[in-house]
Amino acid sequence: MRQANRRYLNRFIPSMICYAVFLVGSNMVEAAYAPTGTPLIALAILPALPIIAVIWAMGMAIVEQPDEYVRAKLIHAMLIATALMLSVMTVWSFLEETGAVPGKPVHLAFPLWCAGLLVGQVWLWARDRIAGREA
Amino acid sequence: MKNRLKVLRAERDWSQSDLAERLEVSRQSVNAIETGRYDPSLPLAFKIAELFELAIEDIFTSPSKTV
Repeated sequence: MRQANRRYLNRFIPSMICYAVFLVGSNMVEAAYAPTGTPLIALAILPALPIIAVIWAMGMAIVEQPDEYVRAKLIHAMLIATALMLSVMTVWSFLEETGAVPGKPVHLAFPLWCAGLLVGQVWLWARDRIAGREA
Repeated sequence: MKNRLKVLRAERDWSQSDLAERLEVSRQSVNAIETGRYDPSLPLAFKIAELFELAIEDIFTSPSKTV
């Protein structure tokens, strides 16, 4: 189990470092050279690639998790995260229709999902703690 | 699913960690199975049965028989 966690961190941490470097780098290049066309598209996509790598690392964390209960809990937390993110985005869409809120910040979908994952994991951890105390 | 895991473990004077180590799973997995919050997969149920040298149905109670 620890090996699986270590492998996840070995993928997650470099991806996040790349994200920070690519984000700052692409913004600087864009400001300095004002590229257009294909170079601009490439620059815009560049910071998204490490985020896709993080999503892949999360998937691999499930695939490589040897403990079936921990794996089931992780999947459960991801379902909670997905439900929360879809709920927020759905409510936002209806509010957007009325003009009460600005357009959806779509780039926040993944951070929102990650926040939901944290909520899910904390909830499942608390549930286990309470059940463990009752046992 | 109801089971006798806690009793069988106590008979051998094993802690949850001892059993987890023998089954190569986490302690929280043992706790979840013991308290009926998680039903183990068939391979893990067989592993548990083999460890205690019992049949699966001697450890786990069929849900249809608990109604």
